[in-house]
Amino acid sequence: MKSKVERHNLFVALAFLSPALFFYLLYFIIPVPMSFFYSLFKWNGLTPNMEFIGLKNWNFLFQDSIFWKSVINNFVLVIMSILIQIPMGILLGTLVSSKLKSAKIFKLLYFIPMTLSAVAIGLIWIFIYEPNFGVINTFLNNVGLSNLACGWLGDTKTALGAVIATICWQYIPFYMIIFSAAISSIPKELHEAAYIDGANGIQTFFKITIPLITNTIIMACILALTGSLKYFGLIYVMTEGGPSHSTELMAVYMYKQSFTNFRMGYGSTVASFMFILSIGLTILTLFIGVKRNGLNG
Amino acid sequence: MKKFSITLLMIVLIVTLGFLVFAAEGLTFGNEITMWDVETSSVLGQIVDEHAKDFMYFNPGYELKIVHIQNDPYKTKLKVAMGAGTPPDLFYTWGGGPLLEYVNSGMVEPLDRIEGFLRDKYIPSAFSAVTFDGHVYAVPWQGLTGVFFWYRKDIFEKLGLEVPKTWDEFTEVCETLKNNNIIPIALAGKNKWTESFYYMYLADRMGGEDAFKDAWARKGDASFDNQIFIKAAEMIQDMVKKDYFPKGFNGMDEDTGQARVLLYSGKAAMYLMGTWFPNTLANENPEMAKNIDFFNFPSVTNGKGNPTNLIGSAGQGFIALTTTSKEKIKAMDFLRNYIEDPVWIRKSVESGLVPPVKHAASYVVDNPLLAKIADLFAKANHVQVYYDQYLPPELGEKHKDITQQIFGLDITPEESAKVQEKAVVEFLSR
Repeated sequence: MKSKVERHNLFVALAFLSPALFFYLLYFIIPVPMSFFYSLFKWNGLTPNMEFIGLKNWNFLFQDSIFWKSVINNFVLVIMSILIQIPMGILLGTLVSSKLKSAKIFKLLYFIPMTLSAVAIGLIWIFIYEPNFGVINTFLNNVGLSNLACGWLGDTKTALGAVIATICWQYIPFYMIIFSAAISSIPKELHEAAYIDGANGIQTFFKITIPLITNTIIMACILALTGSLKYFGLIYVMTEGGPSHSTELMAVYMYKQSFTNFRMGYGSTVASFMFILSIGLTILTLFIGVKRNGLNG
Repeated sequence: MKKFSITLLMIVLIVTLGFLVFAAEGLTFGNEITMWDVETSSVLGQIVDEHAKDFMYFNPGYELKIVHIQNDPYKTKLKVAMGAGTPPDLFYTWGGGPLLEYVNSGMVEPLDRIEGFLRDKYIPSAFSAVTFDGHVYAVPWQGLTGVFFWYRKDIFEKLGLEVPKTWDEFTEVCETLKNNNIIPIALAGKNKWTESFYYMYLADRMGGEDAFKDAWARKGDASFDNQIFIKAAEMIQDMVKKDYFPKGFNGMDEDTGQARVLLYSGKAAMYLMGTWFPNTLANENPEMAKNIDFFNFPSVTNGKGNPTNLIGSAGQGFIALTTTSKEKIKAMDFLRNYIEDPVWIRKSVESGLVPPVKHAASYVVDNPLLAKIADLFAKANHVQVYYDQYLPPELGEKHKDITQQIFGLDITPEESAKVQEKAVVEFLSR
């Protein structure tokens, strides 16, 4: 009798899962081997006739200096995202989960960037960075720091930094919410015990809060890592990878090759490389996490 | 058991319903014609909307849906739709390389059925960018477009400046403007094609129209790494080093008007842009129009190029028909009877465009600005189509990338010419 109920449950579960599974397979899993397949062809993405060229695309990829520049930029983005977004997320998460009455208001305020679309954020920041009327340069000029004012998005030296700052602005609220949830799940007794033992705020933060949210930190790192490796939105809106490829990322480069230059085969090669890189790095991070902390689940 | 059956039934129902909704999305009820264009900020967008209404009034049962899409995203959106086999019935195109790519893929319908009619109506050169293998693939609709230096008359008057005819005079004007704390030239470089104008003009003024033509046709020892193109890049970098352009121009966006704003506000005095600019001006800032005039790109000392040469095209924008359209005949009807009919032409002229139709001059007599454009076109020795539209897409993009690097001082003139030449040689050898 019990097994019958179990079978029913399995059926119901399958029935509910199958539509999602169908679309997941169709749009996320099947395209991966397809991209590898397309990477062996010279194809413009329009005509059915595809010319098999073996590994020529891959060969070209490894010699493509613009592509390697985009890989380096991607790693800069990964490192900066982890170094800026996660500490800021923890800090804001701690602040907004404090008992202060105004904490809720701040939580709401800080969360606003997360609710905006990337295109809207990009356009807002294009005007903030605008060299002649933009908020930043106007401010710098008015306080007498005009030698610091520059064409933020137009200068190869500052463009990547400027875009990364915007990306951080967009994603910090996301980590803030994750960490504030993790922090509020820490039993109050621990903090109270530490308080009785005479620990101050900073000590409790480092000795209790941080160790107890390590798993969340690792998970956040993985999210930041994979998110940054495939990052596209704001870069495309704000700079399109320019000027002179200084903000080129793998995903933007892939997109431009496939859809602007009509080189679907080569675009697929870039996509396949991104896939290998992301999977490899994610597994590595997870492995290190498990080894060091016995991360479960 | 009963409960389970009901649950299952519900699920099946919901899924079926879902698929039905999906299917309905794909079907078109009645006869719908969709058209995509890029007229988000010009008066032309309003003209075509009105004509769509007329078309629907006189063709009951047909719905003509016009979608205006922003210029640069449009190119990708169209490519994606074409690749997926679901393009609109009618689409905007610049002609040249990218259109040929679609033609070769069998996505564009030749307009043989209405060709005779079209040839009667438009000037012959209007079709040069959209004729492949003797077939016309698109209908011109935007007008004669040339790229000119637009300038603020009031600023020039105030500073006692004359319209420059030679490069030396031009640099003098720039210096004077700079000394008066006015940015000499407004430029938004993020979009790259805005910078390509300078490169094309300087190459033309240095080496004449044959410099590019021969280099692309690989005629004799002509190439993209000869002195002409190196010199063009050098002159650009000279302008950049002298701060003739706004600070950080390579990050500024033309589509959102970041260059025009400088001109409107009087922070900058000149602006190299196509003749669609007065049309945009009429829409964005009509009071400014009286302060704006234009001059042809100055000649260069010892340059071989004829200073009447223009960068532009006799038909800048075109509308083409896709082979996947279900309403080809009605769509061709719209192209034939509603685009550039007398009412359209009059409205175009009022909004600042000279349509590439025969007898255009008779419409523009009372508009000095347009009369001047029509006159410059009539006198032009040669009209050079934009490189990025003329070349195959991949090389067009490469050219624009290199141009942006030249403007950003990220590449030496010699290096830029070498990279361009290498890209062309590589492309042709494939």
